[in-house]
Amino acid sequence: MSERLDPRVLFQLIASHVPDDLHENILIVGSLAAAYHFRDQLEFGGVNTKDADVIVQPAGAVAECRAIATRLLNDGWRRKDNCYPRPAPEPVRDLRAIRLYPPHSDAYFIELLAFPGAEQAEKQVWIPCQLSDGWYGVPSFRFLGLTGHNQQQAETGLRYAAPAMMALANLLSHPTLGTAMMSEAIDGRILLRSAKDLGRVLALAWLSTRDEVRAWGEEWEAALRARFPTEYPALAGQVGNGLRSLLDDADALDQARHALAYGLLAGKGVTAENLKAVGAQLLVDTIEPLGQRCANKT
Amino acid sequence: MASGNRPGPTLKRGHELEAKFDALLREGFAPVEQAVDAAYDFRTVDGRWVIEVKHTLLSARDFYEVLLKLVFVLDEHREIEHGVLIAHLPRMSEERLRYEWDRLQKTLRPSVAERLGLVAVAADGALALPSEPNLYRLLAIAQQVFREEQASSESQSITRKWSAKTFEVWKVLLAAWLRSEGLLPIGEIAKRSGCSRPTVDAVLELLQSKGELVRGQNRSAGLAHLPRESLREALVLANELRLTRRFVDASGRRPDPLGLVRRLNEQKPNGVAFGGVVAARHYQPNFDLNGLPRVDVTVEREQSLISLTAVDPALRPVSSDERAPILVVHRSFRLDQFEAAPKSVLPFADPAEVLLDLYDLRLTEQAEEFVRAMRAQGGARV
Repeated sequence: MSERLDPRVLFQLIASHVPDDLHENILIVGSLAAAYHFRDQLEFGGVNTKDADVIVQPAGAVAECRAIATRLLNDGWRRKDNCYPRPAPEPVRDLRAIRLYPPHSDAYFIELLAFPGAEQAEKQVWIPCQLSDGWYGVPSFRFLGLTGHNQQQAETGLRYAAPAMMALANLLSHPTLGTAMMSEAIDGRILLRSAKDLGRVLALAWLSTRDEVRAWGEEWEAALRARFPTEYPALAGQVGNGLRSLLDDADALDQARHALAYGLLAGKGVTAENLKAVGAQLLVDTIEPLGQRCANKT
Repeated sequence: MASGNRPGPTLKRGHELEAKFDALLREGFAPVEQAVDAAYDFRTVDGRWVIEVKHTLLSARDFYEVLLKLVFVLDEHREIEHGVLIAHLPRMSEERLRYEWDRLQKTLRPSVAERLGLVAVAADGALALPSEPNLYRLLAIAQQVFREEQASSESQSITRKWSAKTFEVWKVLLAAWLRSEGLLPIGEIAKRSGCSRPTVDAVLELLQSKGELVRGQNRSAGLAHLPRESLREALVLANELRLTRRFVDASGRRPDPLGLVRRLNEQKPNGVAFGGVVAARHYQPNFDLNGLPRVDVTVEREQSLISLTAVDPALRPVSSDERAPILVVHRSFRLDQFEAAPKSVLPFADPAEVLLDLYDLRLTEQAEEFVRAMRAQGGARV
């Protein structure tokens, strides 16, 4: 059973373990970033994850990824069990992600992600990355590039993704529920990947105030215009597609609830009805107005 | 009761009363079962106790008649150790009851007198004779049941006087009094309330019978003072007459009434006016309350409810175990009665609606102060 980890402590550990001169190249995203942002609202004092998703920036910085991984390994960071080198860069699907424990602790591990280039059209790309012992893969998710907008800074100086941007990235990454399942069970249940990620959007909205969520709309529009200057009207109109599917699917919504009951919203007793209501508010307050504003600009 | 007979109203009411006692007696005093003998209503399993229940005994003669039946039962059935009459005697005082009880006891054989018991709710009190723990337990049950019956009876009496239309007439008069408008022509009362002259006349007669009305020489009328008696009746029925509906935020987040006020002002749903604390602060700037417990609105028509829920899709009606709504919606059947205000986009409900909202919020002190403040603004004395 995972123990709960204080996100403040995790950020401090990461800041102390990662060399100072590399801090400006990393952006923490995912559940740890969300937990840190809402640290004062977490029940049970901590987050139920050991996985620190770390985007290496700036974009296209495969060389930076290699440099960071090499530096960490030289400093004593250890590969996670499922992180091992391949002899060749092909086939790409066989390459393992770079997941490293800090030198003297198993409290967390970091997974290196690539900051996507603006030209990336694929939803996900595996980028081969050669280290001293062989080839690894660094995933690049198209919409994670939005997390570069309005980066937040922790007390330690490390940067992490704003909740609004993580929400937008997840919404766009899942325009439908699809069929892809999580590779690992959450509290004994295998979930739809989309249910987990879209559920996190609802959690981010739930933990924020209504006014904060309404303000997401302006941030989203700015980020979309900056990142996708020609596509942004169409993307703005698609933001809510996957969310609507989730809200209309009782089983998928319950999967989302289940994931959140184990994660960000643990101990808060949030029900599927609560999530559905938050989703409805998010659509009315933020997503639909965004679509209307951007549609007028085509 | 023979099978196939349909009970008349009195008998049906008696059955309902017995059912209430049945539910309570089963839970507390002793295992009982419905008796088949008409002389009493309840009997313990071991047969040692029998209980006769009478909803209303109006005279001493009725009192003795029922007790005598119990006396016969105790005399003929030596195995019964206690026979108890539980009764409501609304026209007899406690002192009178004790006197009549003592008279009866003196005439009975000791072997019967010592097994007879009385649990009574009198006009001015209650008693259990003899004074012993089991009878006091029965008295507690009797007081609970008879109190519920009395409240129900009173509610039915009030319901016959008030309807949605007569209520609107009353609110027009109350709003005019709060604003110190003076007496209104009866035609104006009819116009403002949207009711016919006969309906207005009926309300005026009702208020006059309570001493709450003043009539002018030019076929005008108005309230003489704050109509406390009719207000008390109105409060009993207000939720029903105003078709009050309560809503919670189904998201489960901390309620944000101020945020809801902002959204209402931004979206301006038609036919909706602020009431409650928001409106009270408009009419009385020094309204004494910190924060905003909930948002009260008055709507002119049913369609307005649809536009309200569009303001927040997470609003849903409260369930029975939820106590704190974020939005309470009251219906008024009058049109064009809202008061506009420059700063707030939504208009305000009239002061009568606001006063009713404050009582619904249990803000009694603030409601009284609201009345004083409104009257003072008009230069009138309360």
